Amino acid sequence: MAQFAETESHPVFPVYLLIDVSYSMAGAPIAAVNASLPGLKHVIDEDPMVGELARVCILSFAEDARIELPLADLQYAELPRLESRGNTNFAAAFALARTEIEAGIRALGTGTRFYRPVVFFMSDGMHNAVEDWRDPLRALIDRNWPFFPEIVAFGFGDADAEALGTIASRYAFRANGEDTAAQVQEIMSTLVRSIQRTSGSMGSGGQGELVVDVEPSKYTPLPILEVK
Amino acid sequence: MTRAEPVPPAFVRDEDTTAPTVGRAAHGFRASLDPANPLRVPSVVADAGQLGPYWVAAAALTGLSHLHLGTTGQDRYSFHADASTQGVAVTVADGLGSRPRTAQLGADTLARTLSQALAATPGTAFGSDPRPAVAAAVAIANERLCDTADPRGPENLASVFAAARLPESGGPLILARVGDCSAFGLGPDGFFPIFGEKDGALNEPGAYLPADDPLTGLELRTVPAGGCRALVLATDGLAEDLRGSPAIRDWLAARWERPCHTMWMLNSLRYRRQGSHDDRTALVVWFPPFE
Repeated sequence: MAQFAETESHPVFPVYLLIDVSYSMAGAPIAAVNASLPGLKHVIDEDPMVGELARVCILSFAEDARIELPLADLQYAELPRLESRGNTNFAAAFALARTEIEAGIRALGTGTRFYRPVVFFMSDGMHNAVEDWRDPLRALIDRNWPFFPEIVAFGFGDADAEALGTIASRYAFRANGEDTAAQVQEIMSTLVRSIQRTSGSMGSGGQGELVVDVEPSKYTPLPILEVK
Repeated sequence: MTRAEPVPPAFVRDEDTTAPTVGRAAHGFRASLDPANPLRVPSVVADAGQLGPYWVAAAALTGLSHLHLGTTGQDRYSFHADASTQGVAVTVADGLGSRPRTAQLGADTLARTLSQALAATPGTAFGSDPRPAVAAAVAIANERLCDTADPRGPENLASVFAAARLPESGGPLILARVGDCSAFGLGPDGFFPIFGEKDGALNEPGAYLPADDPLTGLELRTVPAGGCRALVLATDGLAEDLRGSPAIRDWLAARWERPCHTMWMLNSLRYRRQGSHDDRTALVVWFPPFE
């Protein structure tokens, strides 16, 4: 039971970007991701609600998963530059996300209250590693784990609708169109707006809601599926 | 022809305050009125005065987030003394944030109805087990909410509360809540929590009214007579600040050490804490004998 904190802390909204950087993302798509990150930093600098609440962690995945930026206040963090590498391994991505969510929130200090973490997952492909990705996903979304996140999945290119619907806990979308750089740009813009609107929602009530601010003409919503 | 984005004044005056700032307080919060919502409530509401044998001071301040977004605050408070039973009850209520245009109506209905129902219950009904009497009052408030609600969207009035039936004839202070409003005692050593809070994420869906079974989420506590100098009922925005910030606790404990008037009460809630953007509502009851 949480009672009185003995040291100063403030509520935090932890946001995790889980971004596919496999070889298929090379070129324009990964360049579009890198070009969009300053937009996120700008919102955190300019919008006081987001700036006071949101902390962002950037994780990349290909055949392995890496921490590009640990959970941080983007006002004071240097943005990473993502580079493409290897095949696509969802299992590694979900395992690292679980580890980093718990580590990031615990590092905020004892007694720090947090809003439900949100993972924004983005991929242009299918899992093609040997290990099964569903077990690490189950561990990530286990409701008995106090840090379980809501997951919003965005796909484009060769991303599989069924996989995206399974990964997402609340919302899954496939970006419309053929221009992958434009799709990535739109996904990143959506993600920034969603962080902004969700931060506002959380600040105005203890039961603040995840708000995903999509431009309907630019996405096809996908059905949410149970992990089989 | 499109209308130009309005430009706010470069500087807007306000009274000075000695209230603390805790953490990194970002600049750039706007204050926009909610022009299209005829159901909005004033962004500042306050009262102070004698209520039966008690002194009560209360204030509800619309939070930075609502002001920034130009939406109405959603907290309400209420007090009631019943002429026939001599019972006195107080309530704070919080409309849920996901219903931005109407939840304050639910909070208002809930706070007023529950204070009236608790105060109208004869003191003897609370006896050794106050639960049935409190449950009956909560059921009345829930029914009123159901009657008021639009049947197509009853959740539009979704609200939570913390309430107290104030002690009489040496009996205990009786407290009840549904949802995440809270109550604290204030004694010589500062605040102490009356309800426990769960660990985990802040924005977990919890119990609220109206509900098919309003007693499912009902929590009840009693505090023995003389157990605290003052009682503080708080909506979650303020309660989280009290729990999470030693500086805010010290500030408010000093401010509320003695009975206070309206402006003192308002200024007490003018502190700034990083990440604290929700509405702030406190209803403080000081018990006699007063120093």
